[in-house]
Amino acid sequence: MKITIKALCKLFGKVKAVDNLALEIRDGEFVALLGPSGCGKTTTLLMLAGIYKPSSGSIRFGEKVINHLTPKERNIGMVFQSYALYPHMTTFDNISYPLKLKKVHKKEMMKRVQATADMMGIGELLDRKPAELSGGQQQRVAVARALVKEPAILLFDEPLSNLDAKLRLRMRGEIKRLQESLGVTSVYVTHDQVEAMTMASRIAVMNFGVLQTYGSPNQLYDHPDTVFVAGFIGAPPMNFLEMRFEERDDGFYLGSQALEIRIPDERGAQAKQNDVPQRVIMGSRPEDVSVVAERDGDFKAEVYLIEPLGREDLVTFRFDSEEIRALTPAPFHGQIGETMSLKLDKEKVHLFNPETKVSVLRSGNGGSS
Amino acid sequence: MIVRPKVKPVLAYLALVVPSSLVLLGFLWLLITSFSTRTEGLKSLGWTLHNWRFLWESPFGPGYPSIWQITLNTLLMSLIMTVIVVVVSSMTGYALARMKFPGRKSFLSLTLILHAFPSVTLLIPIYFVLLWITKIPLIGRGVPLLGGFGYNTVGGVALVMVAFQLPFGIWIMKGFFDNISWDMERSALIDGASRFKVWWQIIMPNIRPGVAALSVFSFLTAWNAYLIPLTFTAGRAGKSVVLSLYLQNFISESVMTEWNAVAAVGLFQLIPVVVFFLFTQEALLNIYGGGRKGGA
Amino acid sequence: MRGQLAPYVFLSPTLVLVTLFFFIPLVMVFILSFTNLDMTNFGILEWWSPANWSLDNYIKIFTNRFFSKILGNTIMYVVLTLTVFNVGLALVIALITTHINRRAGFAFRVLWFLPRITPVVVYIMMWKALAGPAPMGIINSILGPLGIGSGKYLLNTNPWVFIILANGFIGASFGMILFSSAIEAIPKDYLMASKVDGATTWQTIRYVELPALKWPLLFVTTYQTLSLLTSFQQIMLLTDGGPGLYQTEVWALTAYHRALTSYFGNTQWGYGAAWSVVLVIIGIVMAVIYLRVFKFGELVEEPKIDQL
Ligand SMILES: Nc1ncnc2c1ncn2[C@@H]1O[C@H](COP(=O)(O)OP(=O)(O)OP(=O)(O)O)[C@@H](O)[C@H]1O
Ligand SMILES: [Mg+2]
Repeated sequence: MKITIKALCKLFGKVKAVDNLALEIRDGEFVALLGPSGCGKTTTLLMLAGIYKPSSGSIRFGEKVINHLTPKERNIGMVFQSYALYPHMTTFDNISYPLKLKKVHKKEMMKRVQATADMMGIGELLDRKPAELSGGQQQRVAVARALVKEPAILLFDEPLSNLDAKLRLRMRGEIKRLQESLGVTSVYVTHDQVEAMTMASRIAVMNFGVLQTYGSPNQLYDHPDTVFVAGFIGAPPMNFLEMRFEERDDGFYLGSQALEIRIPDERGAQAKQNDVPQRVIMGSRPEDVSVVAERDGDFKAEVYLIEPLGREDLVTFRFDSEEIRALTPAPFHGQIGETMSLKLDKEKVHLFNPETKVSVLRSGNGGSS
Repeated sequence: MIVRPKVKPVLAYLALVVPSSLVLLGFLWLLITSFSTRTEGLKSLGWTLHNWRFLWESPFGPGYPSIWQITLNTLLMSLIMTVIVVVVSSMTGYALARMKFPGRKSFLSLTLILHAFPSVTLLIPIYFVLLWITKIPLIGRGVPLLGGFGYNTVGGVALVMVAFQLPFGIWIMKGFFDNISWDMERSALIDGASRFKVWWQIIMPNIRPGVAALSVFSFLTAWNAYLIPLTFTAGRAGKSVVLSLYLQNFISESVMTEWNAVAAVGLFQLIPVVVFFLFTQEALLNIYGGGRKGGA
Repeated sequence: MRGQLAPYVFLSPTLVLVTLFFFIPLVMVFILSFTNLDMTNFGILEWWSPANWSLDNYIKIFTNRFFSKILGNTIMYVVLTLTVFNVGLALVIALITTHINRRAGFAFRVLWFLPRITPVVVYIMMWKALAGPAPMGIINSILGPLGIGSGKYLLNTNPWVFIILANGFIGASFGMILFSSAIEAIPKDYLMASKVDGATTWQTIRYVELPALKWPLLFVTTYQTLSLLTSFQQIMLLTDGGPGLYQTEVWALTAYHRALTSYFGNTQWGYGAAWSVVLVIIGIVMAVIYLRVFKFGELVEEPKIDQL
C-alpha cells in the first residue's frame, strides 16, 4: 500500500508537533522516521494509525484520503515501544484479539495465531500471560499481534529501545527479514540512526516537527542536505569548522587562522553555483580526518582526548580554540598534549551556508524533497 | 526533633485510642442494651433475649414479612444499586478521563458540583419525578423483582440512591482510568476494537481493584441508606422494604418506643456488613486509583 | 461522525439520571421557591404559573430574626467538623494506621468505619446514651464517680460538642479510607529510598507521603465541605435544632423543617424550597471556589486519543 502525506500538521495547543510534513512511501517500502526526542515522530505515526486527527493536511493510503477513517478501518498493525500487551490476556488471546474483533472463524483463527507465533518463535508460550514473559518475548508477541491480521501497513514506534544491545541487534535483523518476506509497507520510528541506516530503504529525518531530509541511507550519509542532518547521521558525528570560502585563479580554497585547504574544483564550482557566502561551515567526518607525517599535513593540532573504540580510536584534537575529532586505526601512537599533523579528505568535505544551515553542494534539486 | 521518633509511637497510639474509645464504649453499650431489659451506664439491669425475638417471630402480627425476607430485600437492593453505580460511574469516568468532546472539563466540574445539591432540597421534586415515572407503562411498575422504577418500588429507590452516589463514583473511577497506559488503549483501537469494546474488554479488566473498591463502598452505603428509602416508600409495605426502615416499626409516636429492640435490630443490620467489611477492607483500601497528572 | 457521538453514548446513563434526579428537581425547587405552595393549597395553587410567583419567600429568609444565628451555626458546624474530623483526624488516623502493625491498623480502621455503616437511628441512639444524664448516661456514669461533671444531660449542656462528634466520627472514615489507600499506593521504592537516605518516620511522612496526598486532600476537602453543608440527618435526630430556640439549627435542617415537617401547622413547601435554593447557591459558589483555588482544571489531563 502506497502512502502519500501532504502538508500534514498537528498542533497540541500552541505546540506544533508536526509541521507541514510531506512524504511519499512506496508500496512495500521500509521507511525509517529518524529524529531526536520530541521531534514529532510518534505523533506522525499516530496520525497514520488514526489515533490522532491531523490539524490540517492529508494522508492517502493508495489513492484514497483516509484522514477520517477510524483505526479499525485502516487495516494497519502497530508495535509500540512499551509493547502495549494486554496484561489480563494470555499470549494466545493477545495475538488473536485482532482476529476475534474481525470475527474470523475459530478454526482459521487458531491456525493463523499458531502460524504467526511459530514464525516469531513464541509458539510454545501461547498460554502465558505477558507478566510471565521476558522483555524479548513480549516484544515478539507485540510483533505477532501486529502481523496476525495481515495488515496493509506496519507501523513501528521505537520497538527495540527497551531491549538489551545484543537482543536489539538480533531483532533488528529479524524484523527486517520479516518485512522483506512479507513485503508490507512499513514505517519505522527510531532515534537510533544505526537502526535507521541498516534497516530502511529510505530515511526521513525530522527536527522540531519539520522534515529535514528524505533519502536513502547512503544519500544522507554522503550528501547531507543540512547541518542538522550532517550532524545527526553518522557516529561519531561530523566535525564542523567555520571557514572563509575563496575563489582564486588556480581553484577554490577554504581558509581560517590555522589552516588553508584547496577543495576539488567540481565541489567549489557547485558551491559557487549555489551562491555560497563568504563565510561557510565546513563539515568533515572523523573518518575523513587522518594523522599524517608533518610534510603531508594541512594543519597542526594538539591531542586532547583519546577514546578507544576497539577497532579504531577516536582522538579529539585542539587547535586555536577549535576542536576536531579523528578516527584513527588502533592503537593510536600519540600522547595527550602532543602536537601532530592532520589532513582532511578534501573529496569528502561538506559546505553549508551558516545562515540557512543548508548545504551549498546540492546539485539542482536532486537527492532531497 | 531528636526526641520525636521516640515519643511518636506512644503519642500515635494515644491519638488513636482516645477518640476510638468513645466509639468503642458506644458500641459496647449497644450490644449490652440489646440483651437487657434496662441499662444504667454500661451496667445491665436484667438480661433478656426478648429484644431479639424478631428473629423467630414477627412482632407485628403473622401477616408481616419476616426479618429474613426483609434482609433479602435489603441485600437485593444494595446489590442492584452497587451494580448500577459501578457500571454508570465507569462509563462516565471513562468518557471523562479518556475521550475528547466539547465541554469535558465543565462536565467533570459539574459532577462534583452536583454533590452540592442537598438531598433535602430535591426530595419533594424527586417525589414528583418518581410519581411521573410510575405512570410510564412497564418501566414504572411492571418490572419483576424490582417492582419498577417509580415511586414506592425497590428500583425507584435504588435509582435515586445511584444518582446521589454518582459524583463520588465518577471521580473515583476517573482516577483509575487516568492511570491506564495510553498505548494499550491505542493498540486495542488499532487492533480493530470500538471505544466501547476497548472500555469493556481491555480497560475494565485492568482496573479490577478500582471496581472492587467502589463496589464495596457503594454496597456499604446502600445497605445503610435511610433517608431516601424512607422518603420514597410508603405504608406498611414501604416499611418492610429494607432493614433501615424495618427499624421504624419500633419507633412510633403513639406507643412507647422499644429502644432495646431498636438496638437489637440495628445490630442485626450492622453485623453482616461488619463481617463483609472485615473481608473486603483490603479491596476498599485500593479505592485511591491516582488521578494525579500523568499516565503514559 | 460515529466517533463524535461515542462520548455521549458513554455519558448517557449519567445524563439521564442527572436530568431526572438533579436538574428537573432543581428547576422545580427553583420555581417552587417563588410560590407559597403548602399542604393546604396543594392541588389548588397553580405553582407553575408566573402569576403566582413572588420574591416574598426570599425576603422572609433574609429578614428572619434567626437568619444570622442559622448562618453562624452552619459555618461553625461545617468548619469545625471539616477541619477537626473529616480532614484532620482522618489524616491522622490514616497516617497512624499505615505506620503501625498492619493488623492493628486494620482493626482501628474497622472500628472507625463502624459509625458509617451503623443505621443512623441506632447510631444517634448510641450518642444519646453516651450523653445521657446520670445514672443512665455512659459518660456520666464513668465521670460521675470520679467527681467530674454535673451529671446533667450532656446534649442539653453541650449540644454542639456532641453534634460535631457524632458527625465527625462518620465523616472521618471517608477521608481515612481515601488517605490510607493513597498512602498504600505510594510505590514502595520511594519509601525505601527515603529510608536509605536516613529519613526518620516523621521526615518520610513530611517529604514523601504528604506530597503524595495532595490530590486526595483536595478532593476530600471539597467533597466533604459539600457533604456537610447539605447534611442534616444526624442533627435532626440528635437535637432537632435544640435544645434552645434555634440553638443548633443549621441551614439544611431549616430547609427540611420548613418544607417537610409540620412545625407551624403545615408544611411550607415554597418557603422551604427558597431556603434550599439559597443553600444550593452557597454550595455551588463553594464548589467553584474550591475548583479555582485547587486548580482542578490543571489536574485534568487532555486525552491522548482523538475522536475521529
Ligand atoms: N498528546 C499530546 N498532547 C500535547 N503535546 C503532545 C502530545 N503528544 C506529543 N506532544 C508534544 O509534541 C511534540 C512531539 O512529540 P512526539 O511524541 O511525537 O515526539 P517523538 O519524536 O516521538 O519523541 P520521542 O523520541 O521522545 O518519543 C513534543 O513536544 C511533545 O511534547
Ligand atoms: Mg515517540
